[in-house]
Amino acid sequence: MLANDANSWVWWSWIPDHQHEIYAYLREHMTLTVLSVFYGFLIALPLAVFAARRRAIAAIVVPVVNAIYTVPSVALLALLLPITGTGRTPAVIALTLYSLAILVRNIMEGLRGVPADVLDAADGMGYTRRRRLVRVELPLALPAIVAGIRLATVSTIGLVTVTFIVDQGGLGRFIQDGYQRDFHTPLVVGIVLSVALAVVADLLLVRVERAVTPWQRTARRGR
Amino acid sequence: MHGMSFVVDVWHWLTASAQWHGADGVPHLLANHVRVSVSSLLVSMLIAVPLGAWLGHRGVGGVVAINIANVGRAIPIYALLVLAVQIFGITSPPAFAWTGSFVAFVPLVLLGIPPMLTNSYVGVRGVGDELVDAARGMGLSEGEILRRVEIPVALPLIMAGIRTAMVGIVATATLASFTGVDTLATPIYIGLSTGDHVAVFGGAVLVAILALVADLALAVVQRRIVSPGLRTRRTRSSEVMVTVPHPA
Amino acid sequence: MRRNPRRRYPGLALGAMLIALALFLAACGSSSKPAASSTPTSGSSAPTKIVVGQKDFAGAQLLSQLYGQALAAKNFSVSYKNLGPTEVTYPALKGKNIDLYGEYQGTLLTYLKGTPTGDAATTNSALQTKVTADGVKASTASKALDVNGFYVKKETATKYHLTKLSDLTAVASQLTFGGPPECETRPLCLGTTEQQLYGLKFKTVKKLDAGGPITTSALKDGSIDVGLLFTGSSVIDADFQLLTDDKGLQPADNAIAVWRSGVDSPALVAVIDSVNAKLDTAAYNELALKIFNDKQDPPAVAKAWLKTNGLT
Repeated sequence: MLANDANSWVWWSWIPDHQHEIYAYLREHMTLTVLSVFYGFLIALPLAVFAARRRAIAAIVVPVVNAIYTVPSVALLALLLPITGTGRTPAVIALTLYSLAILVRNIMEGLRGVPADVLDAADGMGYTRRRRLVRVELPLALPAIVAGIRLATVSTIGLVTVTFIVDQGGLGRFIQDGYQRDFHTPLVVGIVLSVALAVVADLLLVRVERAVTPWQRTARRGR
Repeated sequence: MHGMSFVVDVWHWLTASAQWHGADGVPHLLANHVRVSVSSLLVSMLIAVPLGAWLGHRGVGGVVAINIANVGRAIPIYALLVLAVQIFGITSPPAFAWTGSFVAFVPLVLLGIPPMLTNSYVGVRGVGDELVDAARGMGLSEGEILRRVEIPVALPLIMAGIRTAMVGIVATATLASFTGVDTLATPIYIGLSTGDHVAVFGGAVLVAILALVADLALAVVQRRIVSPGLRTRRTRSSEVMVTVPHPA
Repeated sequence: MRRNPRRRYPGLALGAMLIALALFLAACGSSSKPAASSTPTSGSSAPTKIVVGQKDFAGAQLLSQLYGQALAAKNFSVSYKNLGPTEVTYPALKGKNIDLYGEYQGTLLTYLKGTPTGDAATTNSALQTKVTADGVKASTASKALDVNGFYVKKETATKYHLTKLSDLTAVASQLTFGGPPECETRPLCLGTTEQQLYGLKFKTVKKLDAGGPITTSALKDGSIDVGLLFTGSSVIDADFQLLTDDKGLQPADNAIAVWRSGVDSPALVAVIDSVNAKLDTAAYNELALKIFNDKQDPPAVAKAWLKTNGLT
C-alpha cells in the first residue's frame, strides 16, 4: 500500500497521536501481569507444597484450579463485578485465579522431583520439615518453579485483554478496538507490544533463574 | 447468589432430556469440543515435546525457541482467531476436516506449544550430567541418550507441560463456537446474551467436567509411562549432594 | 563444587525481587487509563460528578461520549469507564459502579425480558416501567436507530433477485446463514417473531459472533450467504447489501441514555433531551462511518459533532 492511511497495516501518524495511551496501556498491562503472577505465586506455593506431599490433597487442589481455569472470563468478571466494582481489583483477582492452574502444577511437579536420597540426607542432618523445604526442596525445584512462573507470565500477558470489560485491558484496549473496527494499526501496535512484553519478561526471568541457581551453571559443560 | 433454587434449576437444565438429543444436544457439542481439543493437543504435542526435548539435550536455543513460541500465547487468543478467520475463512479446508474447526485449531495449537516446549526443555536440561555422561560412556548415540535416558527422567515435568496445555486447550476450545462449530461453550455464550444464568452455569459445569476427565485420563497415562523409580522420588545424582547446606 | 555463601536463600532472593517490582508497579498510580475527564465550562455551583460507562463497541461508545461530553459542558464533572456488553454494563449501573451510559432501548428491553415493538414510543414506555424497578431511569428515545440487518453480498442479491427481506423466504432453504450464537432464540433474529413475519428457514445456520468481524469475514469470503450485522455499528463492507425490512420486524432500537435515579435531575434530563433531539439515524450513521471507515476516535468524533450542533 503506497498511501499511508487509516487502512494501512500501520498508519504511522496514528502512533504519535496516541502515544499517551500507548504508554498508559503498556504500564497498565505490565502492572496487571506482575500483580497477578505475584499473587498467583503466593497462593500457588503453599497449595503446591501440600499437594506435593499428599496425593489426597493434590487430588482436590489440581482439579479445582483446573476448573477455575475453564470458567469463561466474561462470566468470572461479571460474577466479581457486583462484589468488587470495576477496575483493577476484579481484573487482578480473575487473572490471579487463572494463573493458579499453571503455577500449582509446575511447582508441585518440581517439588515432587526432588530425589529421595537428598531428602533423606537432609533429614539425617537434623533438618526440620520447614528448613528442609526452604533450604533444600525449593532450591532444587527452582528450575520447574521458574518455568511455571515464565509460563504463567506469558499466559497472563495474553489474558489481560479480557479485563477490558471491567475498565482495564492494558494493550488489549488497542486490540479490542482494532479488530472491532477492522482497524489494523492499533491491532498491530497492541500485538507487537504484547509480544515484546512477553519476550522481555521471559528473558528477565531466565536471567533471574540463572542468578539464583549457581549450581546449575557448571553443569552446562560437556553437553 | 441465587440460592438453592438456582442449583436446582441448573440440575434440571443439565438433566433435561432435550439436552441430550439432536444437533444442539450435549453429545454433539461434546463430540465437537473433544475433536477440536484432541486434534490441537496432539499436533501441538508433536511439535513442542520433541523440539523442547532436543533443545534441552543440546542445552542451547531453548530460550529463543520458547520466546518464539510465547508469541502464540502472549497474543490474545481471540485476536488470533479473528486473524485466522480472515486468512482461512470459517470453513475448514477438506484436508483438515478432522480438526473439527481449522480456524480454531490453529490458535489452539499455538496456545498449547509454550507449556510443553518450556517444560520439556527445562525437564531434559535438568537431567543430571553424570547420567548423560554414563550413557555416553556406554556407547549410546545422542539420539538414544535422549530417548532412553533423558526423556524418561524428564517425563514428570514433560507430563506437567502436557497436562497444563491440555487444560488450556479444553478451556479455550470454546473458540470454535464462534466459527459455527458448536462446543460445550455454546450454551454459555447464548446464556450470556440472553441473561440465562442457568445455561451459563450449566455450560461452565460441563466444560469443567470435561477438563477434569481429560486431566484424569492424562494422570492415568502418566502413572503408566513414568518409570516406578521416578514416581515418588527420582534417584538422581551426587551432583546434588554437595549443595545441601549444613544446618549449623 | 564450591557453594557461594551469598546464594543461601535463592528462593528468597527471587521472591524479594518480585515483591519489589510488584510494589513499585502497584504504587505507580492505579487506573492508568487516560480518562477523558472534563471540567465544566459554565455554572457557578459545585459540579455534579457523573461516571459515564461505555459498552464495548464503538457505536455505543459514541453514544456515551455524546451524552458525556454534552453533560461536561453544562456543569457536570464527567469521567468514563469502559465496560462490556449490556449484561455487564447494566448491572454495573444498578450497582452504582457507573451513573449513566448510552444504550439502545430495544436491546435493553429484551435484556430485561420485555418485548420491544416497532414503535419507538411504546417500546420506550415499556422500558421505563421495567427500569424503574431497578432504580434506573431511561431517556425518551432519540430518532437514531441501530438494528439487526440481514445482509447479502451484491452478487447473491443479483443471483436470487433479493432486495427486500421477504424475497428471502422462497430461497432461504438453499442458503447458509451466519449470525450471533443466540439468534435462533431471539424473536427479532431467527426466532418467533421473525418466523411469523418471514418464515425464514435456512439450509444451515452457523453460530458466529454478534455482528462482529467473524460474521463480516464469513460473509465476505462466501462461507455464509446471509449474515446478520447491525445497521449502525457493524463494519459494513462496500460489497454488502442490506435487505430491507419490509414487514417491520426490527424493533425501535433507538439510542437512549440510561442513568440511575440517584443522579436524576431536571438539568441532566435537559442535557440528554437536547442531544436526543438532534441525534437522528442519518447523523448517527454519518458519525459511525467516521469511526468505522475513517478510523477516527469516538471521543473526537463526538466532540466535533456536539460543537457543530451547538451542544457544547
